Amino acid sequence: MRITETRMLHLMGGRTMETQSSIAKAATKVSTGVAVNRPSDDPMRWADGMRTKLSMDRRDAHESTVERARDNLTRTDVALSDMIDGLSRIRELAILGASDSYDAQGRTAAATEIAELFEGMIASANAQSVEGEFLLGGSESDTPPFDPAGVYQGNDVAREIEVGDNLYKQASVPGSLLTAASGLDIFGTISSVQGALAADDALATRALLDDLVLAVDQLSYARTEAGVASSSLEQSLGTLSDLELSLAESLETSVGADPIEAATLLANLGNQLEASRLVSERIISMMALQG
Amino acid sequence: MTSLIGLLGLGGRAYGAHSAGVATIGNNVSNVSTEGYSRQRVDLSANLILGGVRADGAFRAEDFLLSMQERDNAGSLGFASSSTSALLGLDGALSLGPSALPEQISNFFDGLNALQGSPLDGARQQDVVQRANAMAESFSEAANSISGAGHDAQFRANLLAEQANELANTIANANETLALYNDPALADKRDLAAAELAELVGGQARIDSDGKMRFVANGGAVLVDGNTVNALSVTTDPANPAAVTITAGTGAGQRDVTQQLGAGRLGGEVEFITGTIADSLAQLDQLAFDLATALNGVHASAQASDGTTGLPLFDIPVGPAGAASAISVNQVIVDDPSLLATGTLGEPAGDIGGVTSLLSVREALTSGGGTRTATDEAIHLLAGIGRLATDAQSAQDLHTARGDMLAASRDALSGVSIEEEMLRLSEFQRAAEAASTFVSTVDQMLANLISTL
Repeated sequence: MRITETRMLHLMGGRTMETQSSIAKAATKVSTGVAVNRPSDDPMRWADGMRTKLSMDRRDAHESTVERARDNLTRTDVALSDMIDGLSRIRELAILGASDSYDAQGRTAAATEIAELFEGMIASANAQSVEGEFLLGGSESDTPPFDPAGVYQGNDVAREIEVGDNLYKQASVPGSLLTAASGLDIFGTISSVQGALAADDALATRALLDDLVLAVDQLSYARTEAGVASSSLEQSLGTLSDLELSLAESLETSVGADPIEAATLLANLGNQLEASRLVSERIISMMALQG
Repeated sequence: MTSLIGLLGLGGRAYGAHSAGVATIGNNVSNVSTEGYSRQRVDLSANLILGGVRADGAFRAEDFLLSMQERDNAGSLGFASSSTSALLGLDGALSLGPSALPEQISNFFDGLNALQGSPLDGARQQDVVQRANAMAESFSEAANSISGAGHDAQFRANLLAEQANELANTIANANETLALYNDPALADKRDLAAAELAELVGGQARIDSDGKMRFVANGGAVLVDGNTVNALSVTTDPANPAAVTITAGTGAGQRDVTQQLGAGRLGGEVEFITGTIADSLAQLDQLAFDLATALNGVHASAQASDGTTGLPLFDIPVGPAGAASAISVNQVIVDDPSLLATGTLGEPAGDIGGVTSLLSVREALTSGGGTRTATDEAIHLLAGIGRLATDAQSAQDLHTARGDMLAASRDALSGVSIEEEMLRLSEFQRAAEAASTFVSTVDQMLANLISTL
């Protein structure tokens, strides 16, 4: 085929521009490590990458929610632990007060100390989250679940939160576990003990000792519930952590650029551009000689 | 027997014929870089009447079939290149930047996820309302981007029609001049104008028996017929970025060619406006409407922490039309985020049934006619535009390659090769020198004869 010098120059110019454009794309891949930035780069890979990115955002949201719920359960556990400590001290005072060697003055003093411990336990039972929600109120979490007399105002709803795609787990322990609905009324029992000691009634105090043992067990059970829920959330955090790695790999597969391949391509294109330049120079010098 | 005076004339005609060859080569060489220039050649033939040689004028080296193929390809290339450019612009506007629609939809649901841990927390409620606002704004921005791309395409269509009319006038004016005398350079310009017109609107040109070019756009609209031009007019509606009407001619002869173009850069813009823009806006509106309707339905069946039934979370039109640009968060809820319906009807304030129900909309097949989730539909919309862009890019690459091939064929036939021209220049130069020597010899003989008389 007859090919003119002008045509050769035109072809070389076109090829050089194409190569420069390819070099710009390859350089972006090498410098950013991303091969697909927008749908038109590769619609299928972009869609996969976007879905993976949204899954990563969703995973982050789940992780944050689970961490906060776990923190709340930790606060609940601390509150229940404080209550167990208080109840243990009350039981010690009740054992002393039930003894015949204890006199009226001693029982009055014990009753006074129990009243103080009672107030402290009420404060623990009305523990709040960082955001101000009452942890033991069930779903009635906007008001203190226990009134000053220890009467429960909340309900028996244990909150469940989404910890994964359509996967829900328990995130709270209701204060109903401390009421007669779950065994015996812990604060009512303490009030009875305090009343018996204030009345200098050793016999009645002795009759309540077994209930105090049951109350400690009941509190321990509530604490176990919180611990199990917290442990389950901890497992979810582990799963979410594993998912983070998996999603990162998936995102890399979807939109990431192979650095070696991209660098090799860049080097090849550089050589190609240099060759185009040399050929163009040769054609121009041929045309100059002819002129 | 030829006289000495006759021989002098013979030598003069030979010198003139070869000089015409030198002039033609000079013209070729000087136009070596002129776009669309077809090399000219001088055919020498025996002068049967007067004897000797004569130059039969300068002829353009051209191939009508090849020119037709080039114009046909130019129309397809113009269509593909304008489509590619418009689609890549829209693709970038919708997918680049921090507020891509799929991310904002997902972000709203992520905010709800955080709210379920503390539904009564004012800061978290405020955060969810802000995310709902961001999602609504993202819908509006996407609608604005699509509308803006449509308006830009309408503007470009107007410019392209003006350029097409200028080229049509160039062809008509050239027709008028070429009917009077042969001008290869003007014929080149007319061919070039026809090729550019084909790139703009698609279509074909043919040379009628009177030597005038007739240009017919795709669909049969005659844009140039001899000296007559049927100008293109573009009508757009500022309120509707998906509307454009293109007519050819004026008065009773005016006809709507909007749907018939199908090629050329103008055809590409029309396809972008009436196809991509219209479809994308409709899809986006439907997505906004379906998602807001689903969320409003769930919100209305839940209750706020103060015990009141949930208000509509989003304000939207009664139908899908314009929903994407009109969607906004209910101002009452914006002013008082505690009115977010986080609980189940009849349950205490800390219940999270409402939040859980709102979260379930994320996985519900609310969009695409009940086939996709809202985020998937947004991804589908953006990936669809990306797919159109890659298809247009592929078509552009294909027609560019075909154009290169045709240009190479045209160059083989019509291109100017300096090397060839230099060789032919030497031939004509030697022949002219010989003719000059012949004239000098005859002149000397005449001088000798006259001096002996």
